[in-house]
Amino acid sequence: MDLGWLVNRGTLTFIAGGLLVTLQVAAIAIALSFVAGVALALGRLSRFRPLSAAATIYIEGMRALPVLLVIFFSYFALPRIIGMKLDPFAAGVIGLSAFTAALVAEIVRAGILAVPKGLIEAAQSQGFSGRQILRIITLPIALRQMMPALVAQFVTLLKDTSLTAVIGILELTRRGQIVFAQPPFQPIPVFVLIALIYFSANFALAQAGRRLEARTL
Amino acid sequence: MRYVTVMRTIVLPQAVAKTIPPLGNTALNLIKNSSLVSTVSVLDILGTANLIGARTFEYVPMFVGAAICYLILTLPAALAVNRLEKRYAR
Repeated sequence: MDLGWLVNRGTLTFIAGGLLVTLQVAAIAIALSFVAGVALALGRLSRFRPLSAAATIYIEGMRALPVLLVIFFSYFALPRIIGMKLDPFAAGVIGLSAFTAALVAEIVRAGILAVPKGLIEAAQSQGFSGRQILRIITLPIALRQMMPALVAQFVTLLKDTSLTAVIGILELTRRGQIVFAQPPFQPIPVFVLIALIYFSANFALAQAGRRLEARTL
Repeated sequence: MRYVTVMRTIVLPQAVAKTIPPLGNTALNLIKNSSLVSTVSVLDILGTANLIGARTFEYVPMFVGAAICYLILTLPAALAVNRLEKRYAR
């Protein structure tokens, strides 16, 4: 079997560029969803009822929706609501982050609730303020406990970046489609190659997560 | 006891209790992920909303409507999974 049409410099550079876009989307979405997720978790745990209710509705609603719908919404509908054009990259990152933030929030909330009460009471008895306790005691301990779940969520996010292909981001999956839509029209070798690239990226992410886990312990 | 009896009376009842919550979550995800068939042009909820949106440019009501459809499907299912989880939690 002659694979010269796939294994040549031009095509491979094109696909590698797709990997780069995939990694960019994933990296920005990981950062945004983590920050938003922590904020949502703190909101849901807040004693201020309206804030906690709003965060709960957002989290439970988002978790009940398909990611693809959220991505479509942020590309087609969001620009009409905010009255501003969004390019596919921005819309894809916003959609993925908005969705993943809800899942991250639940992981963070579980982590915070798992912090032993005695530690917090001890800190209170030593005169730490609520904000100090959160920053110095609760969050670091919670973060350590939730690392495995968080890494798993971010691996899912990296895979879900493939969905942004449908709104026209030229990431890995979309570029794969473009390659096999040209002669000799052979999707199987392209899919195998793309699958291997996703596998390697996720394997590396999981390994990095494991190393981070060991370090935070 | 015979293997079949052990399985039926002891192992399987306990195994089912342990696997129902994760199975329920997987089923829920499957409902949501069914929307992915719209990318290969199946006219499911999302595919239809997208098609009408593209024809009329009324994307906001279309996607809000689709979201409500998915909520109607998944929220009761999520409640049921939660209830099962509580019942089997020990």
